[in-house]
Amino acid sequence: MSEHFYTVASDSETTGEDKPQPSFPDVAIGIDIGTSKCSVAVWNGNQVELLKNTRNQKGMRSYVMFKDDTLSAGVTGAAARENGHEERDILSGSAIFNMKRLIGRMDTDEVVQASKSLPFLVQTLGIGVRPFIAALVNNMWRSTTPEEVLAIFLLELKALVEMHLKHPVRNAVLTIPVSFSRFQQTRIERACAMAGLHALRLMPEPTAVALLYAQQQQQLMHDNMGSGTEKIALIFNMGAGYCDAAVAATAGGVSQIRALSGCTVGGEDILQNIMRHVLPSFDNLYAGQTMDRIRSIGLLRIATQDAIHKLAYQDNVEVNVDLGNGHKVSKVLDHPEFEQVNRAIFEKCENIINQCLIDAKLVPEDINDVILVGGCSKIPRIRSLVLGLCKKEISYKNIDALEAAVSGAALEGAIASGVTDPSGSLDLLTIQATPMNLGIRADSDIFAAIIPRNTTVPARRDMLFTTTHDNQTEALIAVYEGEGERAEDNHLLGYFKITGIPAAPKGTVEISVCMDIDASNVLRVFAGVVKPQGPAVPPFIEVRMPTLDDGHGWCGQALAKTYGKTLDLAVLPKKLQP
Amino acid sequence: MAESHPSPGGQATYKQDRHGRQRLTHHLFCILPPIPLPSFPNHSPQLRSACCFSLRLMISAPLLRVPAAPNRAAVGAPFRLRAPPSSSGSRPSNARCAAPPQAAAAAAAAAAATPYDVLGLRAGATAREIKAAYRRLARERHPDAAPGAAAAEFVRLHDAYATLSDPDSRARYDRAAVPAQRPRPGWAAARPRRTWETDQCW
Repeated sequence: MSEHFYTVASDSETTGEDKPQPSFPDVAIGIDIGTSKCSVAVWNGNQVELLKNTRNQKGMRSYVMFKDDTLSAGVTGAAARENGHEERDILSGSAIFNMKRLIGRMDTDEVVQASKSLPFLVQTLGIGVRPFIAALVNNMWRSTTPEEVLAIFLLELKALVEMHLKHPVRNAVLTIPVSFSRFQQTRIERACAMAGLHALRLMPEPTAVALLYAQQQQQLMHDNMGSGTEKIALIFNMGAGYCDAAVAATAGGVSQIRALSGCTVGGEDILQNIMRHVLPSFDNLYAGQTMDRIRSIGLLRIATQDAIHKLAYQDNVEVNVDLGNGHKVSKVLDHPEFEQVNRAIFEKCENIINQCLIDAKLVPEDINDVILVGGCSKIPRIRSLVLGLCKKEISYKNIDALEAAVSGAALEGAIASGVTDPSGSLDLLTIQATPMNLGIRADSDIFAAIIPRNTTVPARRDMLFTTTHDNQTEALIAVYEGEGERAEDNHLLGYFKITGIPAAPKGTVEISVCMDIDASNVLRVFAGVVKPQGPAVPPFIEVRMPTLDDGHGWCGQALAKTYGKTLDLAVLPKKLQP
Repeated sequence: MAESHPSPGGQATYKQDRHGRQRLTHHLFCILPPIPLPSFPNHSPQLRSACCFSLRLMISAPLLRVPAAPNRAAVGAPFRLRAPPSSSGSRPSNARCAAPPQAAAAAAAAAAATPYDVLGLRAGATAREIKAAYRRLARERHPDAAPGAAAAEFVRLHDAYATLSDPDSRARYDRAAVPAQRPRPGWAAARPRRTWETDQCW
């Protein structure tokens, strides 16, 4: 099919393929922004429909190409010369990709550090500020940000949807990795806003899959095929950038997320491991960002990627590529070697599944279905690992590994937009859970978790704290999110001060910190003095989190250094709590 | 929506019926005044609210505790007063039905109940019945499923479910509640609730 540009909000110039769509102007669309590929789906009135771009692709490569004064995203692929050369163009340094891995991360983050071998420029100072990211335009590095890149991509995606639906689109449900911090979620929301989209919901990817599963189970029950009893599914999702697991219990169209866990490993890490394995001098050879280096790494990347894909279907594969400047790679790779090289990644996958089962208080025998989704779920070792841990022979069949997340997001979009379906296929409810601990810093550098991970949302929890000095009149509430025991090991979401605490000996004042997550997943922190009481006590403070905009690593250290001792709080021991 | 889906468990006790009716009034109170429910004791609203907010503390705390602070209600109070605005989210459909004042009263009344009452079950309910009741009520009380429902109402339902779905915490709860029931078996429905409230005042 020949390539053509579409025009926004115009009904002309449509090809014969376009059928008139029933119009649901307020229905939120579902978007799966993948590290490698993006897809978009809509509820078309009786089912979820994945949209294709002008090149007939459902999965569109996630990148934005910078050229002179024009920017173009991978939705249309218009920037690439031809289909066959798209990948090479992406790796020329002029395109920014992997924005889902980089968004909302500071330069101390190991994911950002690992991105420095990408063809575009990722510069780090290692002090907890934004990395410097730039694309090569006419032999100059032009700076950009992951949010900006994502926004350009979403803008093109929005135009594609509007062309199909023939009406403007405003609301979207987007899927995100489980391990995304609340700060990263705000970055996604900002990118959406820049593209003129309102992020109605951000759904952890495996919970979107769980919703699709719940719909299928409900359908089976309507057809009198299902037993109507509770079914427990373990969902394992591994894409290019992230790896997530979830346990969902489903019955009667209600699916309860029992546990969630995720980490930042994915196909990109496997690719980099293999690249370093087939070319041991990789890091020495390509230390500087020169044109030669970009070209060579691009060639190696394409060859390695190809080999990994082939290895999913055959016993061994030969990586054979001339990198120029006298460097040649010629290596046969088989499964045992592949698994050995990526052992650490597979261990992480095992860990998150085991963690998920422990948190859900389940044993492998309790699992009814194992659902494998994401690009990496095609890797034989990943399949055998997940099925082995769940003691299953086969995985659940009725879900497409690459389309599940976006389909779930589109379902949620329809449900959240208030669409009902006479056949009952939208009569679904997902009871979500928080993927990470939320708490504050106390006792110098301890992370006191107030809402533990896997708490059902909406949730409201409180905890009592006390002063650490005599006559302490102010206290700093620094809100963190994460799994670390020390506050510094977690993501700082924001901070505020409680002032006017009545003068009293240390340990006698009681300060309550309450955290509330509402059904829209908005986090609010309420804090104030509860003892002593009286008119002398300052009013409570309510803060919507996250408040931080940038550079939270830097900021956390500065806070600890400047105020750590003077404005510290201590967790009130349980025995003293009323 | 929920009315058209009978509970998968299908074990209708009179308490479930009662709860069903309570829910029905909840849906219709835009038109009709709520039907007074005789089984709710007529305590002061403050006490009820205080109890509802310390529900979680009761669940997580060891039950055999020495009475300590008499101002439990005072600790809970600031949160009751500062509860965030109806956190029903950004769904467009939510705008059409804001929670009327009766909803708060009904919620407060429900809060004074035992976890069994919240789920509309008898004390000896099976794990399956508990799950089925939770799912059925979640469809009515979750802010996603019932536009206009207060998040606090679902939090209460989930807390009750969390207490009863875990065998250990259920056993702990039952141990604490059963002796109080024994003296007047005829009041079985009301007694555990009384005990619960007494606990809050410790």
